[in-house]
Amino acid sequence: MKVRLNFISPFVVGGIKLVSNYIESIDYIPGNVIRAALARYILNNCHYYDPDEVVTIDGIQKKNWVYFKDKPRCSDCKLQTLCQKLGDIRISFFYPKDTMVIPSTLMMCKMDPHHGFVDRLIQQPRCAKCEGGRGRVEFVSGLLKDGKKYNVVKSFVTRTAINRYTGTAKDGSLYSLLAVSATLQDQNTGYEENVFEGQILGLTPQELSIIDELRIGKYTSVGLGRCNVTVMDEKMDTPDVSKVIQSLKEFDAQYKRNNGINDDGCRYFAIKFISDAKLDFGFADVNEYMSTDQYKAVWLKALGINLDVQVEKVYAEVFNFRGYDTSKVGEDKREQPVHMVEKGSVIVFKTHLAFDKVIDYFGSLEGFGQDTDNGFGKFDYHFGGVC
Amino acid sequence: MSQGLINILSPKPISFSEFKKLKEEFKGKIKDADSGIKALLEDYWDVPYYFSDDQDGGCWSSVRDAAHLYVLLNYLLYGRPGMPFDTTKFYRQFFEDSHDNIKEFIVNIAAQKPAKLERDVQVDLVLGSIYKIKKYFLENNRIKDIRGASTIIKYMNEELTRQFLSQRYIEECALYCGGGNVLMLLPGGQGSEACRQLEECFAKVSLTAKVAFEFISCTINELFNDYSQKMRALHERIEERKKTKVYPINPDSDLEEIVIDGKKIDFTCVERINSRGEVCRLCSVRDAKYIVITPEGRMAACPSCMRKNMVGKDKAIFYEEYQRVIGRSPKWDVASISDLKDSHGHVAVIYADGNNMGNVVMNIRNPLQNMYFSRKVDYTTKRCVYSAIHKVMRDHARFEAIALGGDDVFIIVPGDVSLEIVNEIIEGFDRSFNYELTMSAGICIAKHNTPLQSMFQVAQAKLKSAKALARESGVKYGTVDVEVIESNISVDLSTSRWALFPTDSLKLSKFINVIKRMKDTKGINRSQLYKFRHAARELKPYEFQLFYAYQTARLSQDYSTFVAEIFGVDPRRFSGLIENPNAHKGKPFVSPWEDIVMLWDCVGGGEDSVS
Ligand SMILES: [Zn+2]
Ligand SMILES: [Zn+2]
Ligand SMILES: [Zn+2]
Repeated sequence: MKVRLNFISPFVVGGIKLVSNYIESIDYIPGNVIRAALARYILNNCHYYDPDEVVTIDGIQKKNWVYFKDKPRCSDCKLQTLCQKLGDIRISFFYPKDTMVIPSTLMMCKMDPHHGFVDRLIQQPRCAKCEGGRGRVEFVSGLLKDGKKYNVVKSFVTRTAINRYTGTAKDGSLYSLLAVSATLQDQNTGYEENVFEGQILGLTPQELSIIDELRIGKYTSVGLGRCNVTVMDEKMDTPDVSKVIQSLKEFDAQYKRNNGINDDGCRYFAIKFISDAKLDFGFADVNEYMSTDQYKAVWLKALGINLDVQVEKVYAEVFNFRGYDTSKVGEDKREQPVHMVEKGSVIVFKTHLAFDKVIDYFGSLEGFGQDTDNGFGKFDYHFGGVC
Repeated sequence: MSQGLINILSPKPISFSEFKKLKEEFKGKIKDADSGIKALLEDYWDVPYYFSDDQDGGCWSSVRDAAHLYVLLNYLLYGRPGMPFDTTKFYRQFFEDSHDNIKEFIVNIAAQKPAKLERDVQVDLVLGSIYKIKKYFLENNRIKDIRGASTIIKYMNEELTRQFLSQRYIEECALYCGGGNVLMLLPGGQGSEACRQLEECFAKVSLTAKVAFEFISCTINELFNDYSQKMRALHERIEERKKTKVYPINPDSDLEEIVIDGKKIDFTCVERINSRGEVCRLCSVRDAKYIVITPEGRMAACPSCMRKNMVGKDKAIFYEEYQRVIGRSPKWDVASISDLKDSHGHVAVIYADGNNMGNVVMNIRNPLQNMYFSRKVDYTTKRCVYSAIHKVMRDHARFEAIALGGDDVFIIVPGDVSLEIVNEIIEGFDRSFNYELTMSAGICIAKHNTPLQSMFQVAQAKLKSAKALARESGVKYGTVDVEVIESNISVDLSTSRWALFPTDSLKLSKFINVIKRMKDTKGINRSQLYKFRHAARELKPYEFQLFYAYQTARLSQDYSTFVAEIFGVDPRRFSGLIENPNAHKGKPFVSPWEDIVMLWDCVGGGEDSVS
């Protein structure tokens, strides 16, 4: 079901850095952050919550762990089913209302943002709307709304750093927060809203509607991240296979034309990540030279695609990410570092297979990489341009 | 090609007799020089070279570039990789009056005429780029680590690249290197191996800086006659590599030391950690392997951060350059950002770069123009920055440069001189390029203990809005935007809270000029300006106007005169507030006092000493 979060205070998600005193929120909310907020909500309302209780999950000791305790008062607890289902529900990334992720193959006119986009895969890299039709273009990333590049409103907050043990100001140093404060701001009327949307699967609207207010992200104890949760609708539309094949064929033709490829025996298609993906590239500390073609083979392996396709082109941003697992017991709450492929990354494949085979296979995938239950690794076909 | 572009892509013409005098003078200098000719030539990077007194075309190469290219072409034609090549002989030969077909070729290339070498050979054009540099710099907020990162980048980009070339080929193979980029021309068949070795070499030193090298093969004639198309193809290849390349998470190498500018930095003496699973305290992502000593005590560090930390312990690299350009060293050796604070505790991060650079690059037709232009941009940017700092702060000069190369400026200065310095930099840059190229800057002013990463973030956002103004308004001058982060005040980066900013440098000069006159005027003082600002925030417009009329009647009409001048309104009609030109979009008035207070605090300082 489609779910809406209506924020009533700014929020900070992701990007914590203990040493730097600087925390900038990302402009989207990964599923695990929502799950953590739900867990906190359940614990705060649980009759049997014990902050010191330690449970062992997959060999790791955890605190603040939500599981159904099946004790006397649980049977009439309002949160009973939410509590029982929490481990099984699937949560997508949440994005600002009415926005979509910009595919990394899009380029924008350097002179005039109103000139729109060209897609590097199916068009030459120049702006036709500029005088002379050869305006310079540059790659863009981020979010798109109504066909235009979109930014959430972020507010800068600088505070004196507080020592977490003594509650006093730390040696005069400051920390700053760059929090997401609005998704829409009208300069004329002063109207503001901060609304994010995404999907939650495995819960009924009734089970979710019990929650009056969630607190999402960091610094919730000082009032950040408060939001109301509403269910938009239940059903999800499934795309028409013949239409998808048609779009894939059109893309194939356009891609070939743009790149001067004259080969009817092979087909090209592209996917774009609509969320970040945690991929295992298999090298953590090897620093060995590889050719661009070798990297493409590495990509195919990391995606774990078991189909007769080759990676033709990669348009990706990859960064190293090391998250926190606050439920871990002990001082060390860090997770293992992973390669994170940024949302918007596009991969072009080449294959000899027919498109219905491609659709069969890709349609069966939940997503790529780890943590797909929390919305990581979600993808769509990319047909070129803004779509 | 337009005259304006020619002026940017080639040195200013001089008379032939003047040239002959310079040439004789230079020949005298190199008479006894063995291997130092290359260094001597650096002084002639902006002097045109004339092969004959009737050379036409309007676009000349510099003495330096023509001589370099002559040696390089001879090497490509007659040299062999791995074999010694006597560059000195060819430098001398170049300055002799005899003609040969390589000189002929260079003449035609410079004049943008069809050029052809009788004996053509295959070459590999190699492009290297260190990208996402700012991410590599700003993994934490500590100035010494950032400085170390900056030093490592510069070392790899310049020293290491030259070393690589001189060991295997000749240094002249580099058409340019600096600002994170390298372009070189190698003997045919060498490209693939050179790309591999350079990437490996850079990775071994920096571990985590992102680097890509790519090459294309063609003949010399093809390259020089179809240069822009070849460069485009090469750029496309390197872009593809950047977007496909994946980096290891915890890279390490067995590098024991590096020697930067003759100074050895030893990594073997650093204490190692035995325990596993500790996270680096400096980047907070990679696994720690070492312990580094910092002012805050011992910290677990990953190999990459350890190297930055060790390299950054030394003096800033840009001070020596400052001294070369200005003729004296900056007064302060900045050890931490707080050494840069002004009397109110403020520092400013200045982040600037050139506008319209891509358009010029797109018009470059041959390697000579490329060589000249990249050097000119680099020299001009540095000279403008150092001169601006010197001009504004004089003997009290203190600054930190994090990145300064190509058209990139990323420096930190005291808050109370920041606007003047920016203005001087932009004016100098714009003038040097006859306004064919301009510079835009974003400034973030904040308390000295504000995290640098946040300040950089804000400066970056402000550079963006400054550049948008330059693009949209079509002004001839460079542009500036500024933000002041005050404690416990939230700032929305998507809108400007100033009435005067973003603005162009012509207007900024005027503001600065008026503020300085204000400061010289008795009866105008800072606390009164703060009072006006506060009152304008708190009171309703008509209440404030009454308050203002009463105050200025009591104090001085000078406030109105100056403020009206800055805002370009009639002083007789000025009532303490400025009529909002976009009144339909909200308030009928805007307060000028936010801007005035900010200008007052960011102009006219520089004499204060550090506490
Ligand atoms: Zn319960
Ligand atoms: Zn355009
Ligand atoms: Zn580190």
